[in-house]
Amino acid sequence: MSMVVEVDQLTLRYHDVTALDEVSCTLTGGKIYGLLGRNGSGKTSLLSVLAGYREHTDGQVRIGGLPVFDNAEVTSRVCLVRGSGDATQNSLKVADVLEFAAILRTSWDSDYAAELVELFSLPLNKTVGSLSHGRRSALGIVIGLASRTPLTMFDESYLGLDAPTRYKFYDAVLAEAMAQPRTIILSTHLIEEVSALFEEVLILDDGKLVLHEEAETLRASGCAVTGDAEVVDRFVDGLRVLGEKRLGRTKSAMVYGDLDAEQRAGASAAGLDLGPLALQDLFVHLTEPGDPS
Amino acid sequence: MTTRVAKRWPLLRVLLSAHLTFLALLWAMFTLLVLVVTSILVWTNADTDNIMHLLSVQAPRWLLFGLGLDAVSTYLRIHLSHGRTRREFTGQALAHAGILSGAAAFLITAGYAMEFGLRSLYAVFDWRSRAPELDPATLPQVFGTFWLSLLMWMVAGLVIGLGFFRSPAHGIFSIPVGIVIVLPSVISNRNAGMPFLGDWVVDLDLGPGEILAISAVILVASAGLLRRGVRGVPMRTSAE
Repeated sequence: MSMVVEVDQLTLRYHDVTALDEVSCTLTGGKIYGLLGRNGSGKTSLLSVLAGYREHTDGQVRIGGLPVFDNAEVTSRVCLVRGSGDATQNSLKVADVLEFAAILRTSWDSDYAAELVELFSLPLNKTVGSLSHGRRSALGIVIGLASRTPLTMFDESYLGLDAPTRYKFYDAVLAEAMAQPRTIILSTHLIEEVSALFEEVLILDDGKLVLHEEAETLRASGCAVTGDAEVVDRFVDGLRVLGEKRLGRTKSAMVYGDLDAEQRAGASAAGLDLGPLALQDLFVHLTEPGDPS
Repeated sequence: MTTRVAKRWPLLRVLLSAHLTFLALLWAMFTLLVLVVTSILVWTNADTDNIMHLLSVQAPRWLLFGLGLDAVSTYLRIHLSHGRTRREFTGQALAHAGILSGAAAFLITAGYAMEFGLRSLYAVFDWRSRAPELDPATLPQVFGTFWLSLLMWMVAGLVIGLGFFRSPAHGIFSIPVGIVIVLPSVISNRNAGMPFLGDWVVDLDLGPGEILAISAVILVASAGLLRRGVRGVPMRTSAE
């Protein structure tokens, strides 16, 4: 089961700060979305409005055709995990946190939660406050995934997790999205690490939505040109280069824009490799202060 | 972990399972403490009146006030994070306050009832308690008075907790409101525990009927205030 998310001219202000400025987008659902943005770009604010944690100032937000704020019909089918999660209170034991989730969340899957607790090696009898930052984040992930809500959102839920545990999280998200298709929104700064999961990407900058596109289209919107540094420099001369990396004599340049057949043939003849565009480079380019695009 | 889904009053179940267990454990320890303290006082022929008053009147009402704060600061966040609404919270939090204060009043009354047994025990050792003897017929009245008083203190905790959940400024402004809510119980106790209010509270000299009527009005107003206060309350991130 999935739900269409419709955001129309959404504005959210905190006193004199505009956190979201006339954001409009439609998420058709049943996909994994990547929500990207620099610090303070409005990612958490957008997710908080979608989860009904905050009431928006202006515009409209509808999920499954219904308004969200304080509407049990919608919020019972939405789960947002911010950081290590709002459902994890330091004074409670892990077992109590999961028990309360089973009582309060109608779609909760206790068997799946038990599987995830084992996967992330969470101690049920310890209090949340005694857990390491990484384990608290893992508990938040368990709450999000086992909620089995049609719209599940993770806002920087990887904080404190070591690399192997982060990969367990990504694998669990992918397995869950395939086994129980639902809309999953991942807000993250670790773009390259997660980008393979994204089916659509939204980029917020300074409270405005600057991009909403399918991940495949984005990756095809440019390419990585790799090879001998001098040859790469000659090839990309006159093209729009988003970023460069160099290791010894080998260089990789991220080029924005389509290459025609003649350019591709030229690259091949010069011994250059053409690969997909890295989303992270595109993201940095799009959110660069003062960038006219 | 249970796979059964609680469809009705889920927050009430969560709150009761957390607070009732805590209350029962605390009562057991508290009762033991009172038994030991009063036995020592009776044995030494000291005056038990003040210490009994402090233990049975002051401690429970501050405890219930704290549990009211906790119901908001801990459980409103959990409630909302599991997709429940603010509207649901008000009704279930008030029902919880009614049940928990009733349970606390029952345990305190049970403590008073135990005193009858204690006096028989003291007689065996030829000890004599200097505390005024309670008439067993007044136990229902003791229960009713404690229930109402503790309910008001817990509702005050809910209101102040909600104020601070919204913002520190709202929290500070809600403190005088909380004092107004507990005022009937302060009046009925002849201003025990709140000397800063002054003697005018005692001078009012209100009867039980008047205190009951004022309490009922304040309770209804508090429920309305809670309902209005929780509407639109934002759930901030821990960084805010």
